[in-house]
Amino acid sequence: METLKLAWKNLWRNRRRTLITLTAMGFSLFLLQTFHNLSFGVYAQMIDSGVRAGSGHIAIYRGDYVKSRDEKLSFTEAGLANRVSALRGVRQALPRIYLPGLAQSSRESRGIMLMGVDPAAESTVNPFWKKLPAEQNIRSLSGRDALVGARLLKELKIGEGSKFVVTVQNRNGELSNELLRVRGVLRTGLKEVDGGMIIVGRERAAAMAGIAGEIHELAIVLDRAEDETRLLPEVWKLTADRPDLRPTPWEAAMPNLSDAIRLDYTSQKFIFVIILLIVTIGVVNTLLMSVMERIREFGVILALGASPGRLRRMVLAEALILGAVSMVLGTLLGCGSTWYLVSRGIDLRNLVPETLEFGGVVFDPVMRAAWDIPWMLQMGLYVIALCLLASIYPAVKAARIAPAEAMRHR
Amino acid sequence: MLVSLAFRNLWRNSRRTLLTLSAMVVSSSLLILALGVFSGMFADMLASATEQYYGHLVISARGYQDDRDMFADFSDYAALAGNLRKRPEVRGVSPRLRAFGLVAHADSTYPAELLGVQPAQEQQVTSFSRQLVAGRYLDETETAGALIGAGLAKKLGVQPGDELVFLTQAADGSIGNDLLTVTGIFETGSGNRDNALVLVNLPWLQKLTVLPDRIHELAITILEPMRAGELAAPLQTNLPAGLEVLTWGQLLPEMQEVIASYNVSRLILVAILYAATGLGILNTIFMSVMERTREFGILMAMGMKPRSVQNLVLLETLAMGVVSMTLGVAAGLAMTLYMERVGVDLSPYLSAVTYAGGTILPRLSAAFEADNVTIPAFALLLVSLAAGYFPARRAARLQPIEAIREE
Repeated sequence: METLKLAWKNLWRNRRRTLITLTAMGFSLFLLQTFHNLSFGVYAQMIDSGVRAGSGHIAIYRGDYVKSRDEKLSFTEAGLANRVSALRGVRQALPRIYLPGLAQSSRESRGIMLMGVDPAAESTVNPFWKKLPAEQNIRSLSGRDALVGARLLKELKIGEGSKFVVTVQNRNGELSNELLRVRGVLRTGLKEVDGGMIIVGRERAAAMAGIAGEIHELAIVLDRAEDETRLLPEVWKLTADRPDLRPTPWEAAMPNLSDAIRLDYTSQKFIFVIILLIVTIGVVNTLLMSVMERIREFGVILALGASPGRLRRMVLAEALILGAVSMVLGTLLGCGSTWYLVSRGIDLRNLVPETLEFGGVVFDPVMRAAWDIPWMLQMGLYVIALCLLASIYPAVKAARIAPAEAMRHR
Repeated sequence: MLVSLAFRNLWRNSRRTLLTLSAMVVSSSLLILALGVFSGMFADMLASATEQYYGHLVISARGYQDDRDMFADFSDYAALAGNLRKRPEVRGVSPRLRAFGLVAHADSTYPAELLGVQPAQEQQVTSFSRQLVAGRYLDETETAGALIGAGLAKKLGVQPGDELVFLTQAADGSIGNDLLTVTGIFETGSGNRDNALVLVNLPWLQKLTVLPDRIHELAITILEPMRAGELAAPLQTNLPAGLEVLTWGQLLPEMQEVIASYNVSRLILVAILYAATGLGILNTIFMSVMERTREFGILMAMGMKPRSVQNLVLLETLAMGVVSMTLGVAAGLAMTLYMERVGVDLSPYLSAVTYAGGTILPRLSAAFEADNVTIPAFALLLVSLAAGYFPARRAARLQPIEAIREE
């Protein structure tokens, strides 16, 4: 305690130096926390819209469908969606069929992906339905209503209400044609969807492929993303009697999205490391200067009978205080900016196109932060640890002083 | 005289100077490296859209790129292509015909996009010939040859030498179908190409779609992709009526905006990193000025003008700035060039990521861009001068008599 008090007094003997060092560290910590929380919020938003349109937080596939996308790997639904929906924390279970095919109008033909869905369930969670008026939604599971990507519609030269033909390969290897009618238009901003997706009722798609009652994917959307780790084993339990079914977390089901986030976060971390490195060098410099200034004083203290260990502890205590104060300052600032970015966000609508796609999801131009308190604390402790690390050399230096020479030092 | 004095002052406390210098060198060199790596990602992303598909400029019938109307075709392109090839900025010009349909092998059928090309010309525009994973590149003499994406080949279960059936709607309304032989398989890393694109010989596709001697587009690559716009404007005025030239930026506006906004994000990054560095410099210089209060007092008492004292301190920071800039740029450039040459393969940990209509490949490489070096370098000088300003002003404002009395 005595040491801490002394260290505190020592720090304020050169107020300006201490303040500048505190500013540098506090400011860096504030930047780190702000940028991390902003990314954390943006990633959460990306994941949320990605899982709703894509595989859900957890998806059930048969075999290695997630890698091979082999249409033969379908499985019977048999009430699985209902049983999964009954689990606590599951918002929606979405059975889906995916069939690559060819869409033909009287003038043009295009390669497409035909998706068979439960429109009522999808429309509550899937962002594809966000801009779709309710009266344009597919009316039944087995009807001819189809939602067609906006660009695809243009390329096929047809409009709402038009008829067109979709050809897919059925389970026997034969081509099957079906006449469909454009019910609504998909405007998602995603190139793959707008330019090549056709959505129909699940039973219609299954009939075309000759796999009645079967699906390729059961996408499970949860109420809270954090529940994923808790629910994955429960979903495994539900499918235990069918060993070829594999519940898959979204990170594995949508590598594009998870890798986009990892890539972005890794480059951010690289910058963080540079900042911390610079700050650490700055702290070493400050502490070293303050030790060198006080050589004479240290000599006197040693001559009065203090042990070198005591000097070492005092320098470490000074570093500890510097670290702790900058942690508090930086975290306060970080909380302030995070609070602002959570409630207001950064509006990039004037800078970023509305259809900017990253990792398979549309990037929301209003970026909002989210609180990642454990991480903020961790970073704060890092800063203290770095300060202590930076003080080792100055502390050792101080303890090695020979009293007689030091007192003669000017 | 002031300059040599400034240098001597810096070396009076060599440890402090070296530590400050090291912070400056670390921040500037790593910043240059980071910017180079980001440029490398953007270069990969741009290449995935241009050199693996569109080209940097595309000449087609007005509106064709909007809806890919099969009938929006044109002929008599030979003279136009010939003239374009003569221009020094142009690397390659490839006439192409496009068709959509189904490819089948054994009992697998998948939708695909077919590009009819002249293999030798296409090779100068796109990089498929350098991204083969099996077989050979297309050859004009093998009329019914097909170069097929790796993902599609895997789904169809075909190897070079296997036969494919292609089925499409022809221009006369009939259903065209014919046999192709796989000559090679390419892999670009971007899913939308690898899973759906097939390159075939132009005459073969013209015959199948009943579009004799006609093409849909001339794809052009140029030496400096960022200057596509400057090239497009004069080109447009010389084009036959009904044709238009589009740049990659017009075809992929999101990507253009992302790349353009890099100029802003680069400045933000520079500002953030240098704010931390600048505070470090400020601290050092302040300390060294405070230590020398007495000395400055004597200098002024001997007749040195306050302005000269201020310049002396500024020169000290400038000297630190110049030294660390030289070292930082050298180290940063060396690391950038190393990454450009060697790079790091990340494919075991990452898959390709789609971004703004392009694909970022799972590798760390760097691309050299002059701005990535000049901006951090000049900013470092500015920051050191700015950090020197307050201590310098303080030194100049000292009162000689009081300063000398200070212990």
